[in-house]
Amino acid sequence: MSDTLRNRLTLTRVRIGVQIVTLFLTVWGASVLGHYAADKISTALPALSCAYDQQHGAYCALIPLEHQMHHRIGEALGKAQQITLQVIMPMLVTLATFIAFFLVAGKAFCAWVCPLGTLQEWLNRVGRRLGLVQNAAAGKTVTRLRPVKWVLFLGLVFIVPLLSGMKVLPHNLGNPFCDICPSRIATTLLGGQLEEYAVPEVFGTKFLLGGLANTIFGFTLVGALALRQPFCRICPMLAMNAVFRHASLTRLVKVRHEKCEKCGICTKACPMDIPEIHHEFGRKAFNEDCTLCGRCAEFCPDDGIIQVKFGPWAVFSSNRGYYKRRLKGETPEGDPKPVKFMPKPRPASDVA
Amino acid sequence: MATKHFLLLAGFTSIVAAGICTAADSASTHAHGPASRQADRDTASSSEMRRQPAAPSWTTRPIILMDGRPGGDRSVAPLAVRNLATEEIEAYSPAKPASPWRTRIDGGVARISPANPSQGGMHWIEARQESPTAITVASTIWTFSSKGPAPRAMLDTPKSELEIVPQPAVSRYREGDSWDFVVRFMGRPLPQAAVAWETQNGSRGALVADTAGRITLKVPHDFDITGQTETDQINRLQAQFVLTTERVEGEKTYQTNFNAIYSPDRIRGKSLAWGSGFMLLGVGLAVPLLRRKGKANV
Repeated sequence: MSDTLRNRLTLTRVRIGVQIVTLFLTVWGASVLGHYAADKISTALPALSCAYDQQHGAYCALIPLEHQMHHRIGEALGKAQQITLQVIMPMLVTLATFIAFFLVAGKAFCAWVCPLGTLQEWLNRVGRRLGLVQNAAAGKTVTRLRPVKWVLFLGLVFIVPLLSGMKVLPHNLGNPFCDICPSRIATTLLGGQLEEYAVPEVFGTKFLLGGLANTIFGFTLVGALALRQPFCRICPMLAMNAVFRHASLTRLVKVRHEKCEKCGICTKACPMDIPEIHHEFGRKAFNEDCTLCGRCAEFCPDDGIIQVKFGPWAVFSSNRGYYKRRLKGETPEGDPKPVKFMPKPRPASDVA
Repeated sequence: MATKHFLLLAGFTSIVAAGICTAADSASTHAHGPASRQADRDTASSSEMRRQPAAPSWTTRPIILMDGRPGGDRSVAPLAVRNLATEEIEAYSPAKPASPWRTRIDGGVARISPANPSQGGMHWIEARQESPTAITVASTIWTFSSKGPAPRAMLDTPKSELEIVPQPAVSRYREGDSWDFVVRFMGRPLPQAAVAWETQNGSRGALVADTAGRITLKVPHDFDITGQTETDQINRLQAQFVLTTERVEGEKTYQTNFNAIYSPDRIRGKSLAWGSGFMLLGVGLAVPLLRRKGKANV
């Protein structure tokens, strides 16, 4: 590999390439690959696409879970029916499909594939290019926010749909997370659909949930300019991926090193501001908030301390030479290096 | 720094949550009032429409309808044929379209299951009535909830002498959508075929196929959503449309019909202004993030 190519081919650039391909596939893929491609993409990569995309995606991981809770388990319990294989099996099949996906890709879904994650990351790059001041969540804020994603995951993906199916809650609370999901609005808008952006006219549950979705969407759009990955921090998909992260073939590994305590560049590079990647080692360093973007490994200045691994193989390993090259392009926080325009030296004859 | 803004958003979320509880309470309180009895009737009629095959008073065309409760056993399609004298229904799977199978109509209903329970997806459903002078076909597409292969091969396989085939197949049509259909006779596209269409909501029209036998149906906006207060109610509304074409070949008349379900446009009952208003509220909540500098890790 030539030096020029080696200097240009960073992990982040490879990831951006993957993000571009997956964003294109999930939002516009069916327009090019054919009408039925959406089903195929969703079958192959079940944590993609959205049921609200009319012609493109088929479904995301969360809506089938909400529907299984509401249509199957909740309705069956509500009618005091026996939970037969006919009820349990579809949910297990749904879960098993997702688990199989997560066992392979794991948390890499978030940083490499998720359309909303991609949009937030690119918006933050725009914000930095525009010179907007950046906010980073301090360690306390990060740990305080962590339970929110679990509450949303358990509450809006499992419990509320279940209670709605059991008729304890109104029927229109059957898929409450989808109702507030900003990705639903973002991907449908990118696909040219306005109906998910519009909010029900009549005051009621759907009006409030739709209003909340649009508020979160607006907050995410503008907040991402000055804060890295604002919605990812509370996303239930992050929680769901966290459940299976230690069983996944794709994972983050960090070994103990005496310099680590004084350094902390890895946390500065982390778009989720995870303090544990700085202070912890082993399993604890692969935190529930990690999106496996690999920036901590890219900006670790010592050889082999942080690795992104797939099975027994290190896909990427921290390296001092790579770190130095990487710093020439941007700071660990993601600020681009300023382009300096030096005045052209006047010829000696003019000076004289 | 970011905490304050997340807390602001969390505060707004709590207000919305409280509002949802109020709205839910209010809905259950009003459920016994006179205003809601109309809503109940609407819901009941909508639910009734889904449970029983709609009385085919709106059409004299042969059609295939669901007859039974949706959401019961999702691996069985309970189907009834209207306006056609037949004793069985034929089904084509997307995996093996060359091997159709027949199911007898028992008590007015044919209960069709996929040939392979683990492979669902879109199935072509067809009923036919034959006499020495006429062959009449009713057809539709049924989607089983388990995943199946793309139905391209199934659609390309000739299934009757004269047929109207959706290209591509869609499991749910919506008002305002435009979708293509191909008219084929003996497996070949039929140019200039006259196709009549009508909907359960009373719209009617006619189309002429192009040289490739293709017609484009723009599903009309004809649902009356008066009295429907929730978008969920509107989304649950559904009605049938049917496409019909005929061809006389020698002494024999061929007629084929394709019917499918359509629903209201998803934007009906929704407001872009409210959507923009709430989005601007979110933007407003995030603006302070652009004006201040955080303390940590910057």
